[in-house]
Amino acid sequence: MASDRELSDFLKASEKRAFKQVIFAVRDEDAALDIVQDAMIKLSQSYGDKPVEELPMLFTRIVQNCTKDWFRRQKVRNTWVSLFSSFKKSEDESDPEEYLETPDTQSFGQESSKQLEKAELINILEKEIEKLPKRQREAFLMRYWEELNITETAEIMGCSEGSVKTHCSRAAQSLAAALKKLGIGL
Amino acid sequence: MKQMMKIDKNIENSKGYEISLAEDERQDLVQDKFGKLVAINLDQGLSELSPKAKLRLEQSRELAISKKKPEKAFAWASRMKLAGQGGSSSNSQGKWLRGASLIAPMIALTIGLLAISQWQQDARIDDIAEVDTALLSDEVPPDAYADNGFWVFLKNLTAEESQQNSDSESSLTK
Repeated sequence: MASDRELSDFLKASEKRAFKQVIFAVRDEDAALDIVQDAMIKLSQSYGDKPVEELPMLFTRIVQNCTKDWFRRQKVRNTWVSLFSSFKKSEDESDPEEYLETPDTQSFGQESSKQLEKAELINILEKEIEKLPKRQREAFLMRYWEELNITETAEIMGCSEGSVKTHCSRAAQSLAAALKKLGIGL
Repeated sequence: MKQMMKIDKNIENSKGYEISLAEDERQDLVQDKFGKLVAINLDQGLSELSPKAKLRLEQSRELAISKKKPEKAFAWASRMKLAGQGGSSSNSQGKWLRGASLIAPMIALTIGLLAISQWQQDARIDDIAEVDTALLSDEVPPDAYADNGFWVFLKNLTAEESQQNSDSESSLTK
């Protein structure tokens, strides 16, 4: 069973990765922080007595479920918001698209610093990962970033191992094609 | 001749199969390599998190740890640890306490069973002593109970008493 120290070390090692993965899905930093906090508390409260080696898979599953819950809540909230906004349309003519973030249109290759180039590459990579279809992104990140094997990934995603392989393959092809289009090689 | 052609075709098919297998393996390797490179880049990106996000994650972690599920079996031991050592103990001491917390209930159970058997034995001795006391303090000496004649006397006495009782009952009914 995991001690407080072991659980803390595990969370410290996984929290940033989990946060990034949630950001890829929800595209909102505050929401991602809330989701990761929820997942951490759920892991600690419900599975704090499990052995350390079981924690990675459990945490991944909890993060996925918390993200799904967030989307469900958003869907319900958006239904109500759109319902009310249809009444208020004449008073408030603001376009909801104004609130949507527009992608950065920075020019690439102008920075001389290697560090800036690297940061830019990571930024592009993260944006391209964000663009991937949800299932492909989940499978790809679980397999290669969280280093879960195909069986574990299939179990968490609730699909067959063959589907995981297909999702990963398509995600890798899409990413490689997108990077190639931008003239970037890893 | 026909058979030879068939064998050649089989060899060709198997070669094609092997080639496609090798191609699949190569594709998997390329994909794995690409995936790992992406993961390395993503890991490097983790250090670029905003201070706000880092702080919030740290606070969330501390909150989660404070709400950790208590260890059922070791709750008693951890309470003892906190009381006895002011909350600071080394890892080996923790392990020792965990071991002790497992052994302690077994020792308590054994002591309990021994106490129950001792109590039952004492109760049996008390019963025998009570009978002995009654015998010794009786008007009839204890040796009399070992005498056959006394038993015959008692039998006759009880038979006479029952006879008298039945006589008196029949006279009353008449």
